[in-house]
Amino acid sequence: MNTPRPLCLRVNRTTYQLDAEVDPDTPLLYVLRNDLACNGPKYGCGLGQCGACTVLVDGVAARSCVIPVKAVAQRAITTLDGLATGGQPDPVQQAFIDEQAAQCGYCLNGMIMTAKALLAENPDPSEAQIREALRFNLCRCGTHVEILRAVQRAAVLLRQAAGQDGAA
Amino acid sequence: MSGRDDLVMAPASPGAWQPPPEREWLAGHVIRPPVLAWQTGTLLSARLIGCDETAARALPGVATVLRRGDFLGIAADTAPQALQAAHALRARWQAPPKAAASGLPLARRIVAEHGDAAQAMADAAGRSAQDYPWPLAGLQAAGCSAMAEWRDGALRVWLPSRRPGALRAELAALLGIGEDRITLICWQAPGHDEDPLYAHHAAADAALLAHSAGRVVRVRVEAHELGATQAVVNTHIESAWTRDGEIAAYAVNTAVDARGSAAVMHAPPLALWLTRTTAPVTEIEPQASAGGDTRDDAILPPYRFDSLSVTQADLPGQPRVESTPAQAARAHVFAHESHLDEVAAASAQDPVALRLRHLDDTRGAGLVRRVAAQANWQPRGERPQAQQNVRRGRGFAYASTIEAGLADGGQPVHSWSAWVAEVEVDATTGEVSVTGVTLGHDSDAGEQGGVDAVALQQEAARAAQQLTVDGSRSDSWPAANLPAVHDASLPALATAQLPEVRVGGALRPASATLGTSAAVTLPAAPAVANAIFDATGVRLREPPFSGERIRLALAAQANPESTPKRGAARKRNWLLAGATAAAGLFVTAMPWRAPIAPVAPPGAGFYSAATIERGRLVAAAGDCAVCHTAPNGARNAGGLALDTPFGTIYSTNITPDVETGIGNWSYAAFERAMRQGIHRDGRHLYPAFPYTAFAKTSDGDLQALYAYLMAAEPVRAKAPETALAFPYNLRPLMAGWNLLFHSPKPFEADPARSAQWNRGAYLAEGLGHCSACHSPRNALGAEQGGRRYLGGGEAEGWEAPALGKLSHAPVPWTEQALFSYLRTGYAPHHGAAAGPMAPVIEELALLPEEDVRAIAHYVASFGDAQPDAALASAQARQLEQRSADAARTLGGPAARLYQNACAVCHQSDQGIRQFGIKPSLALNTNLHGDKPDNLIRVLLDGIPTPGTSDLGYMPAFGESLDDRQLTQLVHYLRKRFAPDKPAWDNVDDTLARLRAAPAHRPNHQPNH
Repeated sequence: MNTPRPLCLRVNRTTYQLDAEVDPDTPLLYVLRNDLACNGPKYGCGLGQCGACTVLVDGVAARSCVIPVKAVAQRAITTLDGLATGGQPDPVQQAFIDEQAAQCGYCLNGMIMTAKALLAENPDPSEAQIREALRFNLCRCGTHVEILRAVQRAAVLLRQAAGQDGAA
Repeated sequence: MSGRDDLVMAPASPGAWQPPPEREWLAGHVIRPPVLAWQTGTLLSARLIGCDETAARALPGVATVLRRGDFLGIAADTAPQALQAAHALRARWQAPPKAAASGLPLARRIVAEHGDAAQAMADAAGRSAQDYPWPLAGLQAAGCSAMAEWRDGALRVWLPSRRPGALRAELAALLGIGEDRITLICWQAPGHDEDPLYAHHAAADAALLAHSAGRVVRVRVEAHELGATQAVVNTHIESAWTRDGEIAAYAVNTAVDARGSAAVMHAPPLALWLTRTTAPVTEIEPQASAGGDTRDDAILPPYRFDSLSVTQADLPGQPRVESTPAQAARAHVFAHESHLDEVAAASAQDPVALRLRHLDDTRGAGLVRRVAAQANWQPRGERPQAQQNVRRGRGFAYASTIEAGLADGGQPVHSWSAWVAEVEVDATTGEVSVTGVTLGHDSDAGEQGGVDAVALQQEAARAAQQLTVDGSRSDSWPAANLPAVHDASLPALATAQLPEVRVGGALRPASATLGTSAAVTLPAAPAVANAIFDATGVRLREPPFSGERIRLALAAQANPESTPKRGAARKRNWLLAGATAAAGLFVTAMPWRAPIAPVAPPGAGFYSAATIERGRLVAAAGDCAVCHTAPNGARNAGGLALDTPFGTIYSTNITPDVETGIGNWSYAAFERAMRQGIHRDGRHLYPAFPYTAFAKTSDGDLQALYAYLMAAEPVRAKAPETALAFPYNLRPLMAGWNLLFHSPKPFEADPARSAQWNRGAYLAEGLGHCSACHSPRNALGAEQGGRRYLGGGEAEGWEAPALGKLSHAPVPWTEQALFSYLRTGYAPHHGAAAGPMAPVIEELALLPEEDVRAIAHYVASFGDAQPDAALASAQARQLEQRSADAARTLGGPAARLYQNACAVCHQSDQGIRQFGIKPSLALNTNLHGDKPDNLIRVLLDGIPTPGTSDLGYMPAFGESLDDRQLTQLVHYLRKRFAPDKPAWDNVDDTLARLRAAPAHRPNHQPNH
């Protein structure tokens, strides 16, 4: 008895049943990348410090490298891989493309997901608020200014999209 | 019934107007301005400057956060969630303009005066002077809850008041909708912890939040949070009687201080003020037409006295006592009728005869005689020596009032009522039950209308019963309440038996309105108080007549020398035991105990589901699975390694497996283990198994626990043998230890404390075994009591912080904070549960909320006086500010470490919201304590299993930071978050020690 029940994970609107061997204490990031082939989130520091592994858990930014998979079994997980709809990039992704906000791109998963979480709560952030939101996403590259512009542009795109939806 | 067809007086039409089922309700919580005062009908309150709505919205379960003007409210799935969100809001307020000085002089007016009172007093054979305070705000609960539902553009409001007044118009203005879209359902609250005087405040709050959430929201307001001060009618009566027992002089002086509360009762709902909605000019319905109150002429005693003086004191500029006439009449009738009873007792007369002696009013006297005859009233001689536990008594009271004629004819209506109440008092608990009432009522109102005798009887029964209800809402001690979930919903129907009500004498309507009941029940309080005196000799001059007060009075009677002192007796016993033990430790001890024969395990289905369910709760309260489950092992199959100063002890398998578990244990063997710490085979168990605490468990709980454990799935798993070093491996030595340190006595309630406190004590001292970790142990591993009780201890290499007065918490714990911590694993002013406390939180989540509240109440009683919530918040803010200031002057590598490794999850003012909470380190007890142990432990190992996954996880830094970095970080954290405390001087040693003793990892994998 008491054989651990296999965990179910709801990732990007799809429910996955994990193998029974998966240790419930395994970091969510490992399961996402190794078992579910969601390679949007990146392994950076493994200590929840750099933000490269950011995903959304019930819409809230979460550092998947330090959250055991058992903690999120009943929650909705969204990764970068799940942002696009109908083959079209999410407005936040589109804004990052438009502003050419990548250098090496390793941090971008975290930047985009954090921006996504920010804009869900604050559709019209000031530049200072964007800087504050991204301050714990560490990056060594040269595109900080582009990233800031991308988030501002994303805010505009999202508002436009919302306006169209409302009109339709 | 009202003339309006959309004002429904439930339960007149049951069913259709029932509120939605409980699972659909959201818990509403309104954050009140910290300063709130009423002055001449106007509200002076602090202004809301700002708050963090985003943080509150982000929390789980939060349905809406509403800010309008100075109104700030939250609706969430559960009350704790709402509370948590309220903390997250961090509302900032600006003090209001200073209120004008209110030290106004008393104006005294003479209501009646004749005869020469001074002379009569001087000549008297006996005299008496007493005060009879009557709380105006209501007896049970100075608070009220209401519900509102917003659906399809329409508002439905349930409120426990029959006097909605202008509420409909006020709600319409508040929400900006038409009055036709509002349905008020005047819900007759079952139970008695609702005070309808505040119903409109609760209703408006609920309406606002329901409108915002588009759901059903329930809000409870307490009188104090509305700025109502406890209002009291104080009646002072002096009397003098002659040698033959005739009352010669009678002087009454009554004063009322109702400044805050009267304003709150009659003001438009607080929500209107706070949202700065212009209140519609609507008259409050005339009170008598809705409630049938009597004018306050009850201040005049209905008796003839040769000399009489009645004066009334008013504070100018505030509502006079007329604004609450029904309550004032009750206060005065209570004072007169109690006083007459006292005079009768003092002058050795029959109370009914004394009244008749002074009653000139033939109609009233007739009623008194009829009721006394119907009740078979006998003049009582000597009170029989109280031998039995149950004491019975009877009390008489009479009222005669003239109700102002607001009814159709406009004629004042004179009415008379008389009561004989019969009570039973349990001398042990002080509990009073009103077993019977004989009442009569007469009035000179017309014959029209008729009286619903049954409804009236119910009303009278309820009025009588209400007087004796304890303030505490805890369940009966110590029987664990069965699974029936009893949470903060509408109060359950009062389960106690209503007294039998007989009608003696006439029963006539006082008026065409609902007023009869108010007049009929006027003598209720004094009749019950007089009956309690008759039964016990205890005179209660202030309602409510709670069991606690009677118990204390009885205790004082029995032992006038000393009021009971906690712990004194216990200490004596302990000294005695110590002396005996020293004299002959191994002579008196019984080192060898007989085995109890194995039995076949009870078959499946042997125990009822209810018993097993109760046992499940007992197991949860006792945290059995916390120690008896190895990491990733089968539940209760044992094998967890417990580090003690004496060596490693492995927990045993307590599943009903015959070979490796307790499958062949009879109940007798189980009980002996739980109460005395003896294994079935006669071996002594080590006190790492807290039988010292479990011994206090009640029989019923222990039997249920046995049933639960035996009904579980057996798991075959042999736990590792415990092998301590010499001499601790000699288990028989435990017999001496037990003699010294263990008292296998069941729990005894402290009669000086409330039922809730005792329930909490039962759970905390017994099953919950809080002190097993939170009390220090002596060199022999025994818990220390007395002042050191809950003074901090150790658990699995963690420091279990001191509770109560010795706590290091920078913000003092409040009962509410303890409850939040125990219920959710998190208290915003303190932090999150981690280490060995995390699984305790998991187990506590299985207990009914009332039990967790009781534990919080009990633990809080060991602390200093409770700071109020506003003060605690202010302290918390101050601490946060202080650490922010300290941060500016600190720098270096440790500051960067903090900013990189910690800040993302611990600085709630920085970055974006993250999964889990962001516990403030400035408020964390571990940073303010004397030892760095827990801080280092948590840095090394992280928090891999918090109490609930909502709290979030902390990674372990033991592998990624080296000793130098960790040491720097620890010193930095201390300097930044506890700048008033000296630096820890043993960080290096502690770090080395804790690194060498890593946290528990699975050492036993079940092979099945």
